[in-house]
Amino acid sequence: MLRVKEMTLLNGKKIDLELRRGEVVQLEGANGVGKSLFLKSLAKLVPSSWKEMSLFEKSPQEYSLQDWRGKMLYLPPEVSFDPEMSVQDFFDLPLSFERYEGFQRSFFPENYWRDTFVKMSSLSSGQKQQVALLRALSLSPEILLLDEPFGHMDGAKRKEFSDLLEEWCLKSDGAMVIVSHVPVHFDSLNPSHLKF
Amino acid sequence: MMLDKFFSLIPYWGGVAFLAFILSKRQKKISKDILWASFRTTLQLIFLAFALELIFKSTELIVSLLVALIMTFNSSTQIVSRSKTSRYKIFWISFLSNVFSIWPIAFFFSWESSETGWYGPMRLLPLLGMILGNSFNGVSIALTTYIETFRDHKNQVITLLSLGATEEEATRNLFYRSLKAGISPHINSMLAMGIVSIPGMMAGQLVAETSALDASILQIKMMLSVISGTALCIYVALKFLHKKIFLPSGEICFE
Repeated sequence: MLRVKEMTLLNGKKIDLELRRGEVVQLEGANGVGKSLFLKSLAKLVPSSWKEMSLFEKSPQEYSLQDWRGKMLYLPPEVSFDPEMSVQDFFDLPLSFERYEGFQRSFFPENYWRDTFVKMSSLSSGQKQQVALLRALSLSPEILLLDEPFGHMDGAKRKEFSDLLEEWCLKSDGAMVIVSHVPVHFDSLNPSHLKF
Repeated sequence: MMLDKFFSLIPYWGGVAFLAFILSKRQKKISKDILWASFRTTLQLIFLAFALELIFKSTELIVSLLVALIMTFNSSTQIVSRSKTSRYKIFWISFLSNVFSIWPIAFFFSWESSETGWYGPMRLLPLLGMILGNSFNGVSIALTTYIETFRDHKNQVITLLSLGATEEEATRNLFYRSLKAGISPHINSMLAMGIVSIPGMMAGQLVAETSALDASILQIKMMLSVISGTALCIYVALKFLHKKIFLPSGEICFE
């Protein structure tokens, strides 16, 4: 579904990547080597150049920037939000964007999070990561670019959310590229590793 | 005759010198600053008076435009030094936004309030100078706020863009916050005008024995020109800055 040939990052590093449906790729390498930069470059958030890049056999130019980013959703390690926001506001925020006009959610994050009226600012770091993951899944991306998605979660939650991601990947034929310094375990998915 | 005019400044300078002398015993630095600022103001305004005497002899539009360019250049230099950054071509952003927003307003003001020769230096330049002088602070505050807030909330902007927001949707709050920061001092000053303060231009006219109503009307026109010029200038400057922070292909190139 995604093919990237000779992508040159801002730090000069050159990367190739090929991602198929239902596939998980875990990026490995020391701090500062450019793993997060690669994820941001894939989502076209920071400048990069490439010899060839296509998503579903179409070049980035054939997508609007919003469509490209919506299909290949990047989740940063730190969760950002307006301090006055409730969890429900946080879930609904993207629906106010032009891209999601008339969008019908097939995955309802509210079903996985009980108290949606609580303020985002009162959640722990791990809880913020959980609601950010749920929100990302609710937007029906094709590929998830996850930057330290479990960094603040405890062991039980890490298992619960990796199971949820696995289920999403299998059911919706999605794919994931993950940067994680904590071990990620999937029951039936076997991540391939890309060394930096 | 001319010397008499300079001699009339002596009591005012006497007051400043007395104050500086008192302060010099405990606050040497402030005392020096007051003397230096007073000296600079005196010198600059006397120099300005001689320059204006020369410039005002002309009634040509080209002279007005040349001096307006120099004034706008100086205003943009001030904005750069106050913004504490020369990145993102702040100078050109300020210069162009001044030309596109302050100039048309000053031209209109001069045209509307003059019976003849609205484009001559004597009519146009004082009005342009008043509006430029009042707006550059707001522009530099707005640009600084945008750059600093973008730096502090870069992750938030990245998150919104990642979720599929357009650049405009992702930076709407930043834009609003910066515009508000730049324009608020002017709004506050307008609210206090006539109740707490009598503005300098109006006070000058009253002292020169113009009717109070005429002085008020002119001051109202000036305040409305300043607020609309500042708001428009900030708006245009922020739009230009936005174009420098985002590449034409949409990626962020903010450091």
